[in-house]
Amino acid sequence: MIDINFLRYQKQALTKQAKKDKQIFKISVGITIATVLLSLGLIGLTFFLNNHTGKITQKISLTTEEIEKYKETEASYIFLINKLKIIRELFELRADKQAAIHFFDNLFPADVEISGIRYEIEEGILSLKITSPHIFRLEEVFTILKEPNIKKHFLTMNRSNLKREQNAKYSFQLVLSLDKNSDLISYD
Amino acid sequence: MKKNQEQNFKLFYNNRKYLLFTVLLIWLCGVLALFVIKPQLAKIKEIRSEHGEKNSELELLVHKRRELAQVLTSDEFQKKEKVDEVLPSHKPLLELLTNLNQAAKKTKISFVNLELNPGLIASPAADLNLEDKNTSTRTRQAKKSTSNTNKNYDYIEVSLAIKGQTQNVEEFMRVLEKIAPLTTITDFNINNQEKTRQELQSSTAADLSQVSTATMTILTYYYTQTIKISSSSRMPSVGEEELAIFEKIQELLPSDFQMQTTLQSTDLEDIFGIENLVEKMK
Repeated sequence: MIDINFLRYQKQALTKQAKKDKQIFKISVGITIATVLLSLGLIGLTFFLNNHTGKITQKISLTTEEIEKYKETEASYIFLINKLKIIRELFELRADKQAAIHFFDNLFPADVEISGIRYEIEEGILSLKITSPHIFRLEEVFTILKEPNIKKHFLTMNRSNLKREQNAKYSFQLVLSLDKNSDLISYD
Repeated sequence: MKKNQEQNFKLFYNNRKYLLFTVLLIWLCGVLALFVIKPQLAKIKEIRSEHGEKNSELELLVHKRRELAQVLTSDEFQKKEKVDEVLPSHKPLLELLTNLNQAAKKTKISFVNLELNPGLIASPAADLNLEDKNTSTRTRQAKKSTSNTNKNYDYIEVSLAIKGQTQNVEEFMRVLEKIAPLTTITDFNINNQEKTRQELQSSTAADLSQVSTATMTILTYYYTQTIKISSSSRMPSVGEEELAIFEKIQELLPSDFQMQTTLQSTDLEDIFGIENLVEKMK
């Protein structure tokens, strides 16, 4: 009797397929292990970062508490800086006036007086009342004021209200605004 | 029928069990990727971002703590009383009156007239009221300011008339602008009084100088700005110009004004009729 294996080729095919499945299975096991390790690693990293952030938060609270102790110092310091800024602003505003008065006081002859001042501090406009003992001195003053070297320090310079006073002196108003870039300005 | 299905499954399991396990493992990987890896990655990203922010916040706070410690020993802070004296945080009415008296004594001029309208007088504790804890930094507009710009200061306006020798009047103006609190003359008129021949003949050599009367308007400034303090806010910096001004104000003359903190005299009459009031005050 002769044995005839009718499933020979099928068995060979199944064996081949099983081998292929096993290979794929091995690869998928590797991938699964890698995925599990990655998941565990990420969970660990999250835990570490959370812990680290918690420590930073704790440090922030401690530092904030320490800063709170200096609160009055901080307030005083901010007031000090704000005040210095305001004082600088006010010094700048009044420096215009002081510079102009000083400048004209030295510029005019000794018998010519600055007998009145009006200073609009916000606008930086200064009105000076100039009094001269006689008309010839007044002409001298006008000649001085026309000089380009004098005019260059001021953005505007207008003369008005020329009159003869009861005491025979002559006076006029000189309205001017000082050029901020002028070298006349100093905080004296 | 059912038996056939079972047999088919057993046959499939025996032949393709590795394929089945592979499918299960792939499914497991998918589940892990979807429900573990993806959320963890998102969480890590969020934590890292938070971590960065907190680190910057901590750096800022540590820097601020260091700055605050330095502030305490800085020259500017040590001499802050001078700045407070130049620009006080309350209406400096008493200081202004004392200064006028001080300048008048120094320059030997006399007052003819003095007009002022100080309004409400703030308490010396106004400093504390200026600290605004809840709102952002506010500025108060100067009441008498003609411009629309916000100001962090206000002023007391005083009109006065003085009389004295011309050079003394001029000296009075100079002294007045050099005494703390910061004062500036905004309006000024001087009248030189000519002496009659009779007056000149009767006057001594010392009286020969010209007598002037002057009217003027002066402004004395005080601080009104409120501030907000928070532990995370940055410390303001001092610029070169502010440092120059800080040096400049040290040259201003100190005011003679002294805050009265003690009872000068208890020789009082109990005008309110409160029992034992005078004894208690003594």
